[in-house]
Amino acid sequence: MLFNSFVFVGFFLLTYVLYLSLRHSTRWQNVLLLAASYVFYGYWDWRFLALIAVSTVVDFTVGRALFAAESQRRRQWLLTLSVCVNLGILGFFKYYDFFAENLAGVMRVVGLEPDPFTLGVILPVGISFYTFQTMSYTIDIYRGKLAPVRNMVNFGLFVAFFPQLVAGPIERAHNLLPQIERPRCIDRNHVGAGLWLILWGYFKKVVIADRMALIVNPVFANHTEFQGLELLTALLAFTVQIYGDFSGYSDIARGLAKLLGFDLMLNFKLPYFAINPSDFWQRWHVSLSSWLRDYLYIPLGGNRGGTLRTQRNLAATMLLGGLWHGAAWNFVIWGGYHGALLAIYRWLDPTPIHGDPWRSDQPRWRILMMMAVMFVLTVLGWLLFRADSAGQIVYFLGNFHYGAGEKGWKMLYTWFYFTWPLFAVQLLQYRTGNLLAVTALPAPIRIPIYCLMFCGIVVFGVHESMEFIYFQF
Amino acid sequence: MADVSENKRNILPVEQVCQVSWRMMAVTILAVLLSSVVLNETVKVLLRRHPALNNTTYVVFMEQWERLTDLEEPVDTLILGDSSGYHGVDPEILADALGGYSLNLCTFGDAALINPVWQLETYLERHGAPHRVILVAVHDLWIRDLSTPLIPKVPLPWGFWQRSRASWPFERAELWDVFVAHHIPVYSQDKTITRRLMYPWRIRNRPQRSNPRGFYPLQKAEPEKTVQDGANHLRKTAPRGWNISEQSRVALEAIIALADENGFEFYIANSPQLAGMVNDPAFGQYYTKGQQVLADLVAVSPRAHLILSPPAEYPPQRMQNSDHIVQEAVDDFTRRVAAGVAACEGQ
Repeated sequence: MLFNSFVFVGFFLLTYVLYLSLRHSTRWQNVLLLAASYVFYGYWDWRFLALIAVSTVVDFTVGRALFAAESQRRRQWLLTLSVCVNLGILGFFKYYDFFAENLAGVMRVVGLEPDPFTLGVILPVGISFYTFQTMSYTIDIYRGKLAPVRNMVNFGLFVAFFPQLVAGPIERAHNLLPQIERPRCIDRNHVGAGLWLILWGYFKKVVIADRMALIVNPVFANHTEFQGLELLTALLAFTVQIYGDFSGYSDIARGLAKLLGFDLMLNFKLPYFAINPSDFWQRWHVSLSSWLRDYLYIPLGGNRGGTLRTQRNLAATMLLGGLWHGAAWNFVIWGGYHGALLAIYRWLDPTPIHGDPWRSDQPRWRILMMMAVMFVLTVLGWLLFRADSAGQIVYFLGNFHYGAGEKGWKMLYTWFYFTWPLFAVQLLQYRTGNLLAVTALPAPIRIPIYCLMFCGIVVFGVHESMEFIYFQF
Repeated sequence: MADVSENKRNILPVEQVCQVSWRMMAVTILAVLLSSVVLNETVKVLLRRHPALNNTTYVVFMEQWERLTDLEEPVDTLILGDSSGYHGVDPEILADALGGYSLNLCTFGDAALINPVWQLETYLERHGAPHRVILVAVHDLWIRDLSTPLIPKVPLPWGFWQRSRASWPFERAELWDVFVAHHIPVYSQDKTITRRLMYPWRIRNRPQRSNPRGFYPLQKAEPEKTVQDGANHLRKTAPRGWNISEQSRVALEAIIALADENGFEFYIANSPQLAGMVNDPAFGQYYTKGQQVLADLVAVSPRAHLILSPPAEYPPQRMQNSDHIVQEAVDDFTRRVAAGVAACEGQ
């Protein structure tokens, strides 16, 4: 079920009315949310509910056993079981065909002619998200940071909570589980913030990202028919599209959760204002980058053990982070590219600035230059991410300079027309350091903005339900 | 990957939830809903009062209907059908060849065959029977069904489609589309509004307007596009096979029944066709099957006739696509239609 469909709007309204009517019983509210989450997921393909159920049962059982286990060996064995089951499911459904194809390719290179052994496996929506989420639960219990859940329904809801089930944020057990277990209070301030997030999230998705898709898709489908400014605009449009699409989903998810009385973690912190790669990864897809930091980079040794080991750990983490996005080489290369950027920046500046550089002693022009350089590097990264082939990347890079025709200017105008609201809102957010800055504006300014956004969604929104890009990951 | 180094300069934006009262929230929600209603009503009024703000397709459709409803005198020859007729049959040349007064009310393919039935019924109700009705149709018009969002653009009382001779049971989803198209133009005509808002300076460029007799000649031939379009038809249309849609069948039977009851002659004229297409074996087979079905359908009434079969063919240099001729071919095509009619009436 897509957030940007009327079916979902009806589904959520019905669920919400029932949810509010059960406000005196947290237990029954959780049962309702769990059932709703399974309906939400099963609406796409009910067969894959079994995978969520398997992950839920395995990690619920392993979590309890881990907590009860006394010997370290048994604890290690249990953790290995949980990781193997989760990664086994993820590996089979997401990567089997990829590895089989590549293995066959390698075998052909050495002169063998293998029978085709790909299976055409369907990728279950959101599998990477809920697998990582449920793995963090058992790992945290293993590390002694978390006590296991006693109630299967509560744990099932933690794994399948519908607002963030298929595209994150990848929640941590220590943040979400306590909220599931305790009686929740639907606070008017959070409802207000939630409504803004939903409105802004839909605007980013159906107006900005989906309009950008109309520029991007034809160019990447037939790139040789375009050149110069057209290619550049398509790349800029994809830069906006992927951010609008993914952060729009996160905002809607977080807004819906706030209406239900939950507070999900922030996933985006104005990433295109980043001034270096390290800063970028503190702002982009934060729930994944912090997951990779906590469960991969630090266990690998992190920045302990010298420069070379740190660089190795960064590279390995980013390569796997790239592969997390999809079973294709361009994602691996994209991850490697960002790993290289991190390593180079770390070499140039061992204590890079994050967050608010304006409080540092850097001159303004230098900060703006750093921001611009990082933006260009990010855009180049998106070319690796979006391209279908190496040939396409080479074509883009080799044809940017071929001037601007009427079509290019028209595309650029369309890009600007739908991008400026994003820029305006983000500038306000950046200046104030408050991601809810619009809600803090005086009512005579705030209410017209809400009205314009709602009308914008109705008029400019692309009505044909386009899937969110991150569903495929 | 987040860098793990401690950094005192590490300040990232956060969410600061503001105080808001339930009352203020209710006011905001009401304002948002009210603004969308006001916008919708404004758009509705603007589109009605200034038809040129609509997209070209709607403008053509509404103009032709306006021409029909404003018609004060009866005509001798009524030309109905799709855009091949709108751009291909000049009523003045037809009148010159057949005598009397001719009026072209053709629209386009999305209006399918059911719109001509509604036009004809409206005409008959107001002026009685014309001498003849000529329906100009591209080969694939017969396969198509009406694009339901056009229904609200017909200037007849709501529910008119149920009172038609060709009463068609639109499905609930289609009627919902009609409702939305009628009452919520900000949603149903979003592409038009988006275009107007994105390019406000183009509003003055009025879309094409046909001449007083409802004919709009195309000026510029596009040989390459025509050849490409023809190739697409050979590749895509022909393999699907020719099957008259149920809606088109009902509409055609309604027109023939109206011809019998009201005593006018009814002609189906095949549209102009890119030269050589019918000679293609697959397309020829497809086309011939269509002609046989149509011939069988018109055979039920002595007042119904199929003319220009095989079709009038033109080189790409005289066409804008594989079934739209440009002005320099209009005289020839219109006279061929007239000759087909005359041949039938002379029998």
